[in-house]
Amino acid sequence: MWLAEWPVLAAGVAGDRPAAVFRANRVVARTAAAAAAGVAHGERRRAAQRRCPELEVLAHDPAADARRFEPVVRAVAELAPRLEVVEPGWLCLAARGPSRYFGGEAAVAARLVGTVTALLGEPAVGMVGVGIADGRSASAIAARRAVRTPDGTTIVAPGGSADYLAPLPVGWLRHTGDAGAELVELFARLGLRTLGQLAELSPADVLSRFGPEGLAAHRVASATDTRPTTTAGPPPEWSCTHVFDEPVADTGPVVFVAKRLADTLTGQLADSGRVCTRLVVTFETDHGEHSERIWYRATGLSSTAIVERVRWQLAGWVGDGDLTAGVTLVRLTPDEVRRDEGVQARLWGGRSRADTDAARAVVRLSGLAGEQAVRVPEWAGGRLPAERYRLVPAVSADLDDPSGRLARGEAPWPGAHSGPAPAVVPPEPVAVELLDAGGTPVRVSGRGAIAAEPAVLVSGQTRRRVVAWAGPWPVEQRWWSGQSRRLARVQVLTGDGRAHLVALERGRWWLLAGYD
Amino acid sequence: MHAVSSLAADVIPLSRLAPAADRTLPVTPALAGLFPDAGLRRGSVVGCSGPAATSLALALAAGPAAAGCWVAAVGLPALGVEAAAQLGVPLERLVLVDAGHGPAAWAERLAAAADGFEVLLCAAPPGAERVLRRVRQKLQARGAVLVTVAPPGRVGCDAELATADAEWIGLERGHGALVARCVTITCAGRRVPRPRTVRMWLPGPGGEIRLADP
Repeated sequence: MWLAEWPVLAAGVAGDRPAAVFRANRVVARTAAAAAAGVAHGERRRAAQRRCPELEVLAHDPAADARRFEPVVRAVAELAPRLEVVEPGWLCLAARGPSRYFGGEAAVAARLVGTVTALLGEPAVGMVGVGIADGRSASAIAARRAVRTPDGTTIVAPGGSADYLAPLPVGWLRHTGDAGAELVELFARLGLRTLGQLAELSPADVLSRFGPEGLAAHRVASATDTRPTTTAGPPPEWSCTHVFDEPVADTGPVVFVAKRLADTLTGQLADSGRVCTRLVVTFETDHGEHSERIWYRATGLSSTAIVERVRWQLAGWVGDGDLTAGVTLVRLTPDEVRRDEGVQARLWGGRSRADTDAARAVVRLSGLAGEQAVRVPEWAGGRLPAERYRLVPAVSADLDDPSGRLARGEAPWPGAHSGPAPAVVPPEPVAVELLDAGGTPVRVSGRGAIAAEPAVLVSGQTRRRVVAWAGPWPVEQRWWSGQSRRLARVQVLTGDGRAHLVALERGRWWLLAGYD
Repeated sequence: MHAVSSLAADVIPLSRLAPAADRTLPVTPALAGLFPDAGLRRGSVVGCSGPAATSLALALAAGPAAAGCWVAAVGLPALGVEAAAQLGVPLERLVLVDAGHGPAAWAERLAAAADGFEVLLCAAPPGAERVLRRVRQKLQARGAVLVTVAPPGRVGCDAELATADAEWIGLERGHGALVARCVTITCAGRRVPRPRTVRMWLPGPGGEIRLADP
């Protein structure tokens, strides 16, 4: 069942006044009068006002939407108790039971339209649609199309849903939340313009080309989503409950606790590679009042989505004003879970919120500072500290799966220092002086023997007394590439407690690294 | 029930109710004793100085990074990546950002990094304090922690960690090699009621970070 333009209905605006509800400066719902004046969904506020100067501008208030929707849910629950709320304005219910009771699907549909229209009064006339079809998505499409029919109902014969959907454009997938705008656009660009064309493809081809999201879209298009094959009734111990010691008379703490429960629940499910698609949210008060709603989301309920629904349900329940006591219990019970096909395929165990935020910040920083300024380490291997890792632009690296970048090869690096690595490694060596007690530069013989004991390390204006040292360790490298280097490395500990790695190359001492 | 009605007030109780674990980022157990909250307080600026400043900054970042946080090093072109790995920073969550020219560019990049990274390492350039206001606001809004390595520039810190009395073992006069370092760390500052001091291995003979035996 679908209530068209629910946000304006919830705002209590009469249909003959031009008004529109905006979210993020775009029209999300408009009255019939505004629609007649040419105001369209997704339009910017200024464009909408140009079309219709007397347009009443309303801010979107999801809590109010939810609150006003609660009476509708209750009225419908009288007719069909087992219902799922997908979002305010959108209900999903099993037609079989009520249609037996009321004598046929047509009778139920008409009765639902009549009940809701009577409840909401004049503005709702022509806004209520009830669609009956195979599966949630097909019926959601049927309900939306039913709004435009004279009696507000569309009934698709059992098994006829695929034929019903076939001529419809693929854009419908977006309205039911089964596919994102990008995927729909991709379908359209590839010439898949109707749901029928999509349904004709083999599921295996769709999966290999468009991934799990594409397969979900295919299931909708071919009306085979009546109950996804991978869903299973979850064990009851996955239910998460919190009992308050003291009744809570404020929504804040309840939402806060629900957030924690939602994190636990989604975490448990994610550990076993699953996601919850249907969730029962229960509240109880001190006086035994009790609110229970089933929430459904085809793409799975994330922790934030759960909290949002808890908030909606609380708003609706509290908004009635007939509560007599504080909340004492919150329970989240997953009613339907399925395998999480979306992110689990990743080797790295999926993306966390932190990963997503960081990836976004990397893109932002790269735009701000240039790609070469934002880099991530990549294993290179080598004997000198500056050679061990090289830095590569972060935008071109795979941040989700860094295993290829960071895997240290099998090749041993004889001559590389074991022990602690230096914390400061200048990209280019810094010229220093290593002097003996007499103040002359320390030399290393061709056989790798140090001529005199180092006594002073001079870098810039700073002179440091050498208290311990070891070496020299010779390195000869890349003699095969023509760029041969010969250096003699010495570890030096100075009197201020700092350790340094210096090297003699072509008669000069260089600071390679500092163990700060 | 009239009291259960203030939906608009949701946001405030939520932040006030946040338990201590949400207000701090976890640090390696050996370092926890330095902080009144046993961790890095979100939104704060922590300064590291002395002969083991960089290692300490990396060790501080290791705790949150191991717990899944991302680390951005802004304006530390000489950061030893291998040392970072040895001290416990998972390299898959380490990103290095150039500071750009001047304190303004540095602060802008730091603020942008604070949007997506929970731990920021930096060396404050001269004149940093003047431009740090916006960065502080961003840190507090996003719950990130800024760890500065001194020198060169100085900024006001909520907690200052000074390393001193660094003692290396393994290196003698003419033989041996660096093996381990023992260092004294003192935490003081306006958010620390009384200075706290620990003596610890950074790193120990096996590469570990642990408290030194008294």
